[in-house]
Amino acid sequence: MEIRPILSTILRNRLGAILVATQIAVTMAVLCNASFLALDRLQTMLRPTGLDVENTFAVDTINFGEGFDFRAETLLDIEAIQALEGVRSVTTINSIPLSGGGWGNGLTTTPDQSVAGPQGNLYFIDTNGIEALGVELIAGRNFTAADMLLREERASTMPEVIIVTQAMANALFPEGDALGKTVYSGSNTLEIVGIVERMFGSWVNWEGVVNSMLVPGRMVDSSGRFLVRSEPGQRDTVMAAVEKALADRYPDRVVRNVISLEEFMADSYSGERTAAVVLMVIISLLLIVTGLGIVGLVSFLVNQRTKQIGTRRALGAQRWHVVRYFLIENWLITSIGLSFGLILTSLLNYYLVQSFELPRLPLWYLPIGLVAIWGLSLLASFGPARRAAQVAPAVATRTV
Amino acid sequence: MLDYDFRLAWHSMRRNPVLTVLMIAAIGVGVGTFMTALNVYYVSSKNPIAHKNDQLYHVQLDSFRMGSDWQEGREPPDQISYIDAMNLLRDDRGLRQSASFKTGFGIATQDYEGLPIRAVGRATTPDFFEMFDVPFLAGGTWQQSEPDVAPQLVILSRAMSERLFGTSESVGESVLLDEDDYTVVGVIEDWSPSPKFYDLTNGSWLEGEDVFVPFALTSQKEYETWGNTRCSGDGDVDSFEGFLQSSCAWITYWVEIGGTGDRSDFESYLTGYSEAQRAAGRYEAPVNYRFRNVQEWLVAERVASDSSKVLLWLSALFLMVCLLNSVGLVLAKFTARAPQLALRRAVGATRGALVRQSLVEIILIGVVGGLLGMVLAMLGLQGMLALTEASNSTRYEMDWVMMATAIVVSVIATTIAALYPALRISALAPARYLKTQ
Repeated sequence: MEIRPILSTILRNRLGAILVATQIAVTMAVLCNASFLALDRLQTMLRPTGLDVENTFAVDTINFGEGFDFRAETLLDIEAIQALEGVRSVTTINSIPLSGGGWGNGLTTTPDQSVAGPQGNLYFIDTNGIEALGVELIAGRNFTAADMLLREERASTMPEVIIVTQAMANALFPEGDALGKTVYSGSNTLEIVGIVERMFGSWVNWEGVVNSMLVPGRMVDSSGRFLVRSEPGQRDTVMAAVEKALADRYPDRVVRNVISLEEFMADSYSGERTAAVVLMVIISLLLIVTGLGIVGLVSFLVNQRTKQIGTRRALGAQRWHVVRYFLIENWLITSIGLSFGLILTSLLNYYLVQSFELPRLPLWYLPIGLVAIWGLSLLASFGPARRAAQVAPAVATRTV
Repeated sequence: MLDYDFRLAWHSMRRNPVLTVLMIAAIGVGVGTFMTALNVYYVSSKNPIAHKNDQLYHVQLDSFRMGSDWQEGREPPDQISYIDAMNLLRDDRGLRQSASFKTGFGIATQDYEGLPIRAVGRATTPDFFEMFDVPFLAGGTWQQSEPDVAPQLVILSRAMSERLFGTSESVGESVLLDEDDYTVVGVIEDWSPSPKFYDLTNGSWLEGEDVFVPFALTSQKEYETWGNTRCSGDGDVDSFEGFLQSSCAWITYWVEIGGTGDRSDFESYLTGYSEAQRAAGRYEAPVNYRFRNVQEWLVAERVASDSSKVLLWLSALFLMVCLLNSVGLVLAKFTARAPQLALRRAVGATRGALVRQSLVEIILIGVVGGLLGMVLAMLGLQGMLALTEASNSTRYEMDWVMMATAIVVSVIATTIAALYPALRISALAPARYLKTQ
């Protein structure tokens, strides 16, 4: 192999080699860290929520007039919604999962409130709530009509039963025997009657997002809020129908915030999505710039050395010898750059971890980054190298 | 002479069009990306009231129970309780103070047909407007001498006034807030600082409010808070009065003082106040408060998101890759030009002239690349806007001063990076290159 002559070519143009190697090193550092961060954001966005996000939406009413009878009107509203075609289930609810607005609540296993317990979001739902949310009850029972509490304005009473997620159950009772246990919230006592497998709360970037709690009840108020689950694929038509039905049924009201869970979720993750998109744009541009840079440089070197290539060909070198020469030259410079790139990648990650409390880069990103950039550099230098092989031996005998 | 350099540069750029386009594109893309990230970072870290930074201070008091997870110097709640707000207002230290919270009403006029408009409002003390430089279009704020006595007056935004009355001249008119009669005392120009520094707890990038009512009427009118409330144990109450007397924190409190010199005075007042409250049994934790100016408060609330800082870093490194890329190509070009330069040297050009010729070319590339970068940054910001449009997120806008700075920076960076190759090429002995021809 002609490693030695290649090395001496590189050494003759040291500055050029250093520039390319530095570029490769920084490319490697940015590529590894940016793709790790982008994947991290995407993974956050793709976490399963336990909810039927595609087919569920929320709707609010604000009711005016002195004589608004919350109890009677709410039942009539539910009846009207349920009668619509394509509605699978409907529940009243105090706040909407994934929406960014919710009730934070802590539970403890002892009446002593000075000991902090796990925190999560608390939802007041009715007997259809489990079905309307689309969460899966894996142990215990659903709420019954007898469990329902009508809570007067400003009251702080709580129902006597509660359903929690598996995550909340585990946080409260690590031995896994949460079902049937008594828990405490403020001065209220509740019995865990059911466990749902998984349900995201309201604040997607909160560690307590998996600790959701469901209780049977409604708060008496002049405004109403419903969560409606449609039959698969019929959400948009049902949304319009529900909005109209609620407005028609009681004229002295405003029906607003008819918003799908999908939209709430997209909004809640807008920061993650923006960051992921921007990172991916940076990665693509980076690969394009570095790739084209190598193409430009190798093409240039080929043009520079037309005479030398002709001479080699005239002395008996095969075409693939010429291709190999340029590929190896580029590969050597790239590899030198990558070895510095390994260090730079770790340094950049160390800085990001220290300054922004970001997760540490898993080690397996490094070999993948190496292979990716080797591939890119081979691919980029292959075209110009092949053109070099087309140089006719006769060129050597001509003078310019 | 410079004219000649430009012609030579132009000639050289045209001789290798692909290489030239590659260099300009690389610089353009790098500068464009970096400027986009810089603008995003700049907007999100802006202090909208920088000129009063050392006069305005945000107050936090630790009125919460200690609990088992108590730690020395824990961050007190972002807001303070009603009792504390009233106490501080009565003590009346500092030049001005504002106790305020987010609320809202169904708003209508006497002869308004249809359902009331839902309006986001703020219950606040009258000093608020002077403290935060809120511009009045007509009228002014209400007068009050006691913190809990105020007339039933209201201040509207221009948009709300125009919506209700068709004009911004609505001072003296009467409006219904949740079916209760108020008189308009002032109309403000639509005012929406970004970030919304005076109330970061309820969303840093939300629009300003449309209705302002006296904080003093809170207890009498039972204004509901539409903002965040944090309680510590005693939040389970059955009446509005009980809620007001609890340690629940839901009021944003700002103080205006004369300047940094008065800071320690106010801090010692807060220390004394906290000690007194502790002695009275209201506070459990040892003296623990925060007294932050606007900038410190923006930092504490992490308004400039880590995400935009990380993107800024990565895009800076990307710009570096692009510059290295271009300089590598420039170097290759210069090397190839050695025979031509040698010829110029041989017929009498000075070394300085050769360096200048090379630099003119690279500066030309830097400027064109920078301009391309500016165009790309505008597109980039449009893209960021589209990405965040759905949510109430940061409002991005182009900052021209920064743009110009960035172009200058890119030109300087390319020039410095190209200086060494230019010097080296011009230093080569002419004879060696002339011989080969």
